[in-house]
Amino acid sequence: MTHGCDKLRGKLTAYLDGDLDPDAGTVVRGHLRTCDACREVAAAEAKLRDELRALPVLDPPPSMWEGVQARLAAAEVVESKRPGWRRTLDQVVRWTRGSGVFAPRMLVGGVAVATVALVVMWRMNRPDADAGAPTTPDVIAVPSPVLAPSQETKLGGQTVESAPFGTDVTADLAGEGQRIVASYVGTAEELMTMIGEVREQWSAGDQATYDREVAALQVKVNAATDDRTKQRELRALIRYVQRALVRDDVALAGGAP
Amino acid sequence: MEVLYHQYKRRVFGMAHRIVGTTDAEEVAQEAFVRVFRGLANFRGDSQLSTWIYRLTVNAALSYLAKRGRRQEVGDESIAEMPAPPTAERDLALAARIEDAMGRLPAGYRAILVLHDIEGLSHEECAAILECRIGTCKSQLHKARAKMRELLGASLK
Repeated sequence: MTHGCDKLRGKLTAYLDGDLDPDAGTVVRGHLRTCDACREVAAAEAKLRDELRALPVLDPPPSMWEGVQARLAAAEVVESKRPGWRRTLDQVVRWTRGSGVFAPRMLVGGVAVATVALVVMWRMNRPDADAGAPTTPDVIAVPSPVLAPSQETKLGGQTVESAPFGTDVTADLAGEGQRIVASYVGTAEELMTMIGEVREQWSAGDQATYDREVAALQVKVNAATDDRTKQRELRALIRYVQRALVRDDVALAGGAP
Repeated sequence: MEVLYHQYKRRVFGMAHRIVGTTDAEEVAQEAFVRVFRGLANFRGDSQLSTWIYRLTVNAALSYLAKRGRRQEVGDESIAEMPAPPTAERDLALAARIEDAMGRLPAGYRAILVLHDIEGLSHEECAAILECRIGTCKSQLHKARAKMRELLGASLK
């Protein structure tokens, strides 16, 4: 094996995946034409890749969903017995980890500790300190909807008047802010599609409440004039839809096994 | 939630199956879904929902393997010295030999092969799921395929 073979094999995966620029691809092809050993390696790798892609899709056993429900119920029973301050601590740590705002880990740790201390002090001193962690409300608050004119969005099989919050932000993903906005939009749309499949089981009142609330949140998204505000409003929309999904699950779930 | 389950059950189960093996796949997939459902209310939405679900699945599978301490969880050097898989015989289909060879890879290699080559995700998506750089993903994939070629030997000719 020559030095040229060494160099080529380092690029083989990228070449077969189409990740090389045209010039580098030409160099690889030129070498493969003249080197039997590397051609054999390339053929084996291409065959491996094709075989991997052709592996069958695996169907989970029918019992899996029941197992998920049983585990979920058991986990929630355990969680409900944990002290409120532990749940608060976990939430703060989770938020701090997930935020991605603070790059240096030490800074994250310091801020987390300070935040936890403040939260714990606040919880100990407020009048309803024993109320525990906030839970999903049973009744969704219904603000007065302010709908954008002449726009329609499909929500769970119903047409709800609102502005299409995704259409004006997905076209240009050049900036990081816009990329995040687009990601939020995709998430919101996917979650709302899921809601659409379960909302038929809700009462008419809950459906109307959900539609009004989502429409109002969408109006706020559309009214946002900069990426940061739009992201904030999209997060509010996503949180609302997530809670509706969780509430739906809680309503339908059975007890602990 | 059931809607979400049915939408992702095949991919989640498939990933779990190919990372931890047949016996424990259902348990790991169940654990992944429990993490998804319990974390959904806190999902920030700054990555795609699918990316987040696959990340939880891969993490559930890798942490399961770490706890179980599988014999297969060995370094690159040991892999090269392993004997040929006992099931790599001519009368078995190549797909079965590939599945068997995957079971002999280090878990990290298995994860990138499952995500990129089997599930067909892009390097960008794999990097987001595995929480590493795109260059690291490409490098891991290159090494994983090389190990697979080595393990499969003449089967790929």
